[in-house]
Amino acid sequence: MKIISHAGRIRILRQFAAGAAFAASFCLLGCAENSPMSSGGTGTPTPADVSAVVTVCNMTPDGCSQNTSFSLATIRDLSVHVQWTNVAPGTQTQTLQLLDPAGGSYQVTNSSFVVAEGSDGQASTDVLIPIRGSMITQRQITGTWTVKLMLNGKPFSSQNVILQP
Amino acid sequence: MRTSLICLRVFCATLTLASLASGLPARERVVIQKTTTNAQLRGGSIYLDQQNANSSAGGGVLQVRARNTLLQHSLVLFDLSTLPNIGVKQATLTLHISSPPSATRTYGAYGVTSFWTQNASWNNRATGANNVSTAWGAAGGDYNATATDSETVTNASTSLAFNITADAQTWYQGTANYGTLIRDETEGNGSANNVQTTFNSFSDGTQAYRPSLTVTFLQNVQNLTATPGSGTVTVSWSYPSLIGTVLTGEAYAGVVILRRAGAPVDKNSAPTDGTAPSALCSTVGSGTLVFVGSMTNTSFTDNSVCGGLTNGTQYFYKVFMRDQANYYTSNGVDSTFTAEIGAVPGTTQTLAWTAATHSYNLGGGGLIPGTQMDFGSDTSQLFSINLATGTRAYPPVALGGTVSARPPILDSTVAANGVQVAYVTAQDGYVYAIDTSTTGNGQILWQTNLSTIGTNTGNAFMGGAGVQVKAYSGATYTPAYDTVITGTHFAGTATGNSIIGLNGSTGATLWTTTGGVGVNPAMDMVNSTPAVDYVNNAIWVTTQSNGSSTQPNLWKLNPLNGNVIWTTNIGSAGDIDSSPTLTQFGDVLFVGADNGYIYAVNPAATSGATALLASYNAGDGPIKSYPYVVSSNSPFSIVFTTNTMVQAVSFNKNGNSFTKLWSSQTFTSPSAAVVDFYTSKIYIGTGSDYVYELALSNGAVTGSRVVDTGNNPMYIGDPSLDLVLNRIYVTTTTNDQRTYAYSIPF
Repeated sequence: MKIISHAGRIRILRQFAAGAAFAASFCLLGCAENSPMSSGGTGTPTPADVSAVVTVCNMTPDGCSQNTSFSLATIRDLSVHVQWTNVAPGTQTQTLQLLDPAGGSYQVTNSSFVVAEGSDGQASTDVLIPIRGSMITQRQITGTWTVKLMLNGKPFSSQNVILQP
Repeated sequence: MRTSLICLRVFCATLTLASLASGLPARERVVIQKTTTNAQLRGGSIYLDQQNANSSAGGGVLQVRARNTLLQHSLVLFDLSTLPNIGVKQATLTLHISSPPSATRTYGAYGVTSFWTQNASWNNRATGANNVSTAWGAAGGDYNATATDSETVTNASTSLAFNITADAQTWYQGTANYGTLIRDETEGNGSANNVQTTFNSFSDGTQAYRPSLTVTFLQNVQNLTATPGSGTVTVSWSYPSLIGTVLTGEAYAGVVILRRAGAPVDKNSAPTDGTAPSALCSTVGSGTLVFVGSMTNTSFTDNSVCGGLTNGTQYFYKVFMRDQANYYTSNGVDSTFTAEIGAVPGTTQTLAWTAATHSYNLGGGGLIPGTQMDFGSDTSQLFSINLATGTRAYPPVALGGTVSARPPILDSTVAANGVQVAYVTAQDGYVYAIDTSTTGNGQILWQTNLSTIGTNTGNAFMGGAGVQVKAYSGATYTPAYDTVITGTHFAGTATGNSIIGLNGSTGATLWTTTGGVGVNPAMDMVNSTPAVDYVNNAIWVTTQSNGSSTQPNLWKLNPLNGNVIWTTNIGSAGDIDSSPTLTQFGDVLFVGADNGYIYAVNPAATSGATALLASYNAGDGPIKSYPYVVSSNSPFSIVFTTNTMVQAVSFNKNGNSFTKLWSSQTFTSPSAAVVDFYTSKIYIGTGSDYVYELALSNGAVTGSRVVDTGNNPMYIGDPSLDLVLNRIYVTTTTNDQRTYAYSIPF
């Protein structure tokens, strides 16, 4: 796994091979279920057919335990892995926004990556969102949180994450 | 001299009256440029050179080149601290060309999306004082995929101007300002692309050739207040002095006021530029238009306008300045930073001020009481608010990561570096020292990159920084600088986190104490702020303990070298997230644990095994944020918050025993408490809509302030207490995302 960049708590893997290897290791550590999402949101793909697969897991010393529902008593950091495909060549900016159960923006992270000309348009990003010790655990802000994914400023799709007491 | 001053004031007053009578000119314009009178402390320009990918190309000139492997991008960032409270109408970036391209090219201006420093290179965007770098997400710069503007440059061009209005407007509605990147729009292989343009930089010897940003704007009203009556609210304001040059043929025409009951007018509610105000009582976004006034108006009494006001209901007012061409104090369709205020008719409840941040932060702000509050945000910015007026002291400082904790601020007379400095810990693993004075305007003095320590490559900071202040230290503290102490939050290890000491003047790493290294025991993540013990010459840090009752959760360190004096798992309590608190004279340390216990610790103990004096089971879940020690001498009163209530206990040092004093009624997700010693009142935020005031004597609710009933559920953060202005300040979440100031006692 080659870490190409580090924007905030974001690591971006620009090479598909590296990304695939990472995803594999991710899943070996428990990330068994992916959530494929396509742009558009209405069932009509964009001309580029850009798609993303999002996995979330609880980052612990023993690895990343994948689920979409976590207990505030045990979760440490929420790791969000996004696997992009068919992304156009050039510099791209992914925005990942975590919305609280009321729909308010809790945290926003940007991560840029380059898709090379002539490549297969794949890239992946990893974002770590601290939960343990944050106001989420202190104020027990439980419920259905939403990971909202944007590419180049345009809403792409979203993934729900349930945080339980 | 005295006479001159008086005359000057008379003159100014006359000028103001004259201006009001004729209408203040509007749509002001300023040219932001590095000059002898504008140092652009937060600005700068550099270029990135692919050929020397790991080296800083510096900022002597700016270059753009289109050929692959020889690519060059230029970065410019303007310090807008002279324009903290405006609505942007137009922004034009102008670059002077010192060497034009050999062939016609098209260049794009892109909004940058990551924090960068003046020594950035093609591969690395930021380097800390410790010479540790952070890479760009995309080599050559992290920037928006779509150019904000593109312009053609020819062999005959002498300058290049980009319209970056859209980007500049986002900087005034919650998005961090990382500047603008200039690149060739057609980069590629082949000699045809080996075309280069050289621009003059911020450091050019000829001032007129330096990059400039021409900003056209409207200002906010000032001194906005709302006074409640029975069924009425009177809104008052004043008009600002001009900042820039006035556009010909335009003048401020007055104000437009939107009203909303229960919650502030949404940030995306604004009159449309170029369109006359809509009819009275019409709906504008989430607001109702209740007043259109001319420049002769400096107040508006809302009594039966568009429906009578209901006593006991809070009404919010957003006040837009308007000019004769019907431009408004907004940023396009957004009005995030437009002036607003609120009051509750039929009561005495009024806001001292409110300031929208478009950000989420519950950690509270650091204060220079009576002067300024600084607080971080989820949007990677540090906000600085003038406490007297509620206006931004300067535009938010763009940082590299989310700021979760309350930053400590040292007054310039106290800080060893002689600067009013805030030490900010962020989730990008950086610690920032920021000059928060109104002359420093938020300039970053240094940043230290601690994102990687040993094999840990994802360090973040969730707790704040503790500061050993030289001026407060005894003779055993020999350094000439203050020491900044903070601990890492890295979820990937439960044993190898670190506590770091930094030179407060330079950011240099003084020492690093890492769990499991050498004789150090295992260290889980740090989510708290270290406490400095000037009596016992120690640093106290609480940590998680991997859920164990044996791995240390309390650390006593030597502030000079970080050596571990002793550790313990205090009370076999397990994980601790709240910060430790010392008594005024350093004779007892109180620690609140996640198991719901408060522990009294002897800070002079020579070992962890003998340090525990007593414990108290509060019985309502984890202790939040910190225990608040109210009294100076034993028996000490300690106030703290648990899951559903505020509690108080007494600790008698003579008998080493806790006694329960009281527990409050239950609240929805209460925040940490602050205590006003003078009035014996306690203040908390909640997860409902209210800030509560409690009696220190028995915990009974003695008052409350409704914050926002329209954005439920909303959380109100840890209050900040200002005993100079007698106010508390709270930040909020969800769709509200504002800071509120209330006079105390309620």
